[in-house]
Order: sequence, then structure tokens, then C-alpha cells
Amino acid sequence: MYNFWVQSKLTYKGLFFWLNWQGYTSAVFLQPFATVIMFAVLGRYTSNPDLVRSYILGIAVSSLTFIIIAGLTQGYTRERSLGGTQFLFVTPASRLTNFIARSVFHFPNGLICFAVGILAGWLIVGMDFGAVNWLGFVLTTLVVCFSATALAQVLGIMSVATRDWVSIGGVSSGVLLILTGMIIPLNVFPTVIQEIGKLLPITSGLAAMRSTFNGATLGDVYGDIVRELITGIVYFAIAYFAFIYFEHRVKRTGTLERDIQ
Amino acid sequence: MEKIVECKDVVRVFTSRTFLGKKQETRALDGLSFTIPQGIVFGLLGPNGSGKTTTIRILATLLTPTSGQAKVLGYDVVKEASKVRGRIGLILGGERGLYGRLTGEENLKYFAALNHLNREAANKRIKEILELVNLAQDSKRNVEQYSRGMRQRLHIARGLLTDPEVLFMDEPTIGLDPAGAQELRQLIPSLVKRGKTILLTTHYMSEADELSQQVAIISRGKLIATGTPSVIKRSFAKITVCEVICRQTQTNAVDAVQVLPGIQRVTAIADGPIQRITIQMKPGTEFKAKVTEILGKSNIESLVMRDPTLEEAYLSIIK
Repeated sequence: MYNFWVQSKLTYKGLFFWLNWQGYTSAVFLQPFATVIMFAVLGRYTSNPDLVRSYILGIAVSSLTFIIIAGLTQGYTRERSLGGTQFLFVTPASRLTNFIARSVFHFPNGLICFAVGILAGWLIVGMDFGAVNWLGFVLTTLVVCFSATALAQVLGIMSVATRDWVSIGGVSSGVLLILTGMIIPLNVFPTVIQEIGKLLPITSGLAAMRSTFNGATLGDVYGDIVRELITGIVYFAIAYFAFIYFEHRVKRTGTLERDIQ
Repeated sequence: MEKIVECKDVVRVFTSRTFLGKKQETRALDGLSFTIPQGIVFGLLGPNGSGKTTTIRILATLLTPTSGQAKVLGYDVVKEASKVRGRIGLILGGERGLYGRLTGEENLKYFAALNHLNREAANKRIKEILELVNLAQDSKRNVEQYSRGMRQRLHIARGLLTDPEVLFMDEPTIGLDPAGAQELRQLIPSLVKRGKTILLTTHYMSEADELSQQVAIISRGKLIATGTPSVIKRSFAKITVCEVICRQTQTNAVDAVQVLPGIQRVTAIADGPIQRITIQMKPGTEFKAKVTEILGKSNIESLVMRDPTLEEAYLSIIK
């Protein structure tokens, strides 16, 4: 457990770009606040305040996913560019432990971003918390954060393989914004797109989150929460096996350090 | 003597594709075979691109050979990689591979955790090792503030962290100042005395000569000479060397010696009125009469034949 804690703390401290006063304040506090303001103002201008209130939760979730995806993908890429990945691969460390440890401190970052987004929504569009089923709402938030972390792990492996976290982060944020119902309800899309959206993390969890925000009981959203949890577990498993495959492949192809030799 | 490292017909081919998709192959290792017995420093020498780093990467389980077999401590580096990893240390030259935003101590803590050292063992070992590499005073500073030499010392500390049985050192003194390089060179024999086996690559021939009990020279992925440094100098060198001490003579004398048949290289160092001339030539070259004539018999203080240094031998072998 001690070694797991050390790996969690030091991979986060050593590899998270924005772990300084300016970076952290900007990415974790100002960014979600600004995003909510932007979408709120845009929504008010183009439609009406009621519609804005309905998608503000989605915007807060998009901030949650953004910070987790950016944090994990930049960590994997940065480690490779620093030449640290080879020293990990030469140790007998449990790859599963190291893989999970990387995500530990990014999880609370996501929750903080989400909370800031909700705060901004309350201040700017006057979100009404009167009907919230708090137990259900907190539980769905934790599950959404878990599955967002799982997705970030998948994208992290993709970014370390391609040495590019910026493009992967940008594309994935766009896809999530459109296909998970963060802003646009999924049911306006063709059936095929809806089915793709259901395979992504966030989609089911966000539906459950909205329902509990409006007072639905845990029993009402049980199916969505379980689906979101299973989706997160599946994405974690995919990411882990991709991590193992990546190690195997770079040892076979000799490409881990080749680009810089 | 127990074989700690074995390479048998190891081939490593790197494949890449051009922008238009054309496949390109580079044969980094071409049937390399050697063994390293326990408790010695084995110097692996060769020009840039000869395959030294590729060899170390294969033995450290970071790269799989295309064909052939490599074993460390009797374990196959591909099939039994996990058994190898816990018992080796890897020290690479240069500044890469450290986490700049962590302190020196935190870097070591991270790698101690990856190597399954518990808290007490890790703290004790980190303290010892930081003292050993003379970084204890700077252990709480972020590595991004370290000089190149300090980073290299931290690399060394990391390689020694788990007290491994086998150490792979790829140009470990690169970036170190003369004092730091000398400290490392003094450390290596003490590690060997404790039974460690060390594979060392270096471009500094004096370092290899001083430290290595055995040497292998590779070129284009092939072994071209192996043995003790003395054997390399005597048996594989393609030159003999003559040292002439003489009074300063006419300015074009060295040029005149250089063009004699069989002479390969002539260097002259002036020390006041005395000049030391080193003449490298093909074995069996008749040169004394001509050299004496050019330099002037009365000017010559001494003319002695000696074994080539490892550097001279190395250069003659890889040409």
C-alpha cells in the first residue's frame, strides 16, 4: 500500500503539467467557471434560461472530463518524452499497480472541477437545488468521475503511443461534448449515433445525474448507474491491456526511445 | 567461473518506413556472441552506431532480439524477463529518464517503490546511496535545478538503488567533470569486490583500460576482438608503436617520417627543447634507419618500442 501511495503521489507531482499555482488555478478553477459562463451566456442569447439550466450539469461534467483527460494524457506523454518510461519498463514493478496509481490524484481534480462548474451554474443561471436527491446525485457524480478516469486511461495509452496528448485531448473532448448528451440531447441523433453514444462513458451516468438532480430516487436510476459503472470498468480493462500491449510492442519494435536517439 | 551474461548469435534488426511507405531495415546487431563471467567489469567498446546501446537494452529487457538468445543470471531476457528485472541495475548516460519536478530523493523514492522496497528499506538505502554519489546535500532540490553532472550522479544512484547483482552502465561518465568521473571510476572496483558483474560501455579508452578485466570490441553489430585489455593490445592491434625522445629538430621532420612506407600515424609533442614523437606503423616495418637519418642520430635521446595503448589498438582494429 505504501508503494502504491508513493507511485500515486510522485507520478502526479512529477508528470502533471499544471501542478503549480498559475496552472492549477487556471485549469481547475477558472477553466470550468469560464466554460459554464460561456455556455450559459450563449444559451441565454440563443434560447432561454430554462434550457440553459438543463444543460449546465453537462457542461460541469465536461469540465470534469477535460481535467482528468488532460492530466492523465499529458502525464503519459511527458513521461515518455522525459525518457522515464524505459526505466519503468526495466523494473519488476506491478504494471497494474503503477497503472492504477497514475489516476488516483486526477480523480479528485475532476470532482473539484465539477464542483466549480456547479457553483458557476448556481451563481450565473440560478440553478435550483431544491429537488436534488443528494445521495443519488453524489453517487452518480462519483461513478461518472470513475468512468471519465477510465476513458482518460484509454486516451493516455493512445497519447503515449502517438506522443501527442494535445490532439487526442482536443478530439476526445469534442466527441464527448456531442455524443454523450452533455449539451445536445442524444435522442436528436440518428439511432446509430445514439448507440455509439451509449457505448461511451458519461452518457448513462449523466442521464442518472440529471434525474437525481431533479429528485429521482436511486431505484429510478439504478440501471443507468450500473451501466455507467460497467462501462468504466470495461474502459479500465481496455486501457490496462493496451498499456501491457504498448510495453510489449515497443520492446519488439524498439521504438520507445528511437525517436530521440 | 559462472556465466552471468550470455549472448548467443544475437541479431537485432530495426525496421522503419519512409514517408512513402518503403520499408527500411537497419541491422544493429549481426550475430553477436559473448559471455561475461561473474565479478568482473566487461568493457564493451565500439564506434557510434556499432550496437553497444542496443546490446545493453536487450540485456536489460528493454528490447527483444530479432533472433538469437541472451541470458542474464541464467534467465532468458525475453521469456524470463521478470526474473531478470529485479536483479539488474541500468545506468544510462545523459540527462534523460529523470523527473525534473521531483527532488532527487523523490526520484529515488519512486524507483524504490517500483522495485518493491518497503518504506524502511527504501529510506535507509536512499540515504546511503545519496551519500555515496555525493548528492545528500542537494537531495531536497528539484532535479530540474541540477547540473548535468548531478543528474548523471542521480542516474548512478538509481542504478545502484536495489544493490543489483548485475549492472549495465552505458557511458556512465558522460557529462561528469573529471573529479566526478574519477569518483565513479573509484567506485566501480569496490562494486566488483562485492561480487557485482558490470557491463560497461564507454568511449573513453583509458577508462575501459583502467576498469575492465575483459574487453570486447564490436563494429556494425559484430564482435571483432575480445580478451583482456593486454590481449587486445598485443594480439588484435594491427600496429606497433615506437616512442622517440629527441631534441627539437627541423620543422618538417615529422612530415618526412609520416610518409615513410608502413608508417600509419605520427604525432609529436614538444616539451621545451625536447620532443616526444610517437610513431604508429604496420608490424614488421623497417623504419629505424630512415627515422634516425631524418631526425639526426645526434638528436635522438631514446628510441623504444612499446605496446600500443588500448586507444591506439582500438583505433587500429576498427579502421
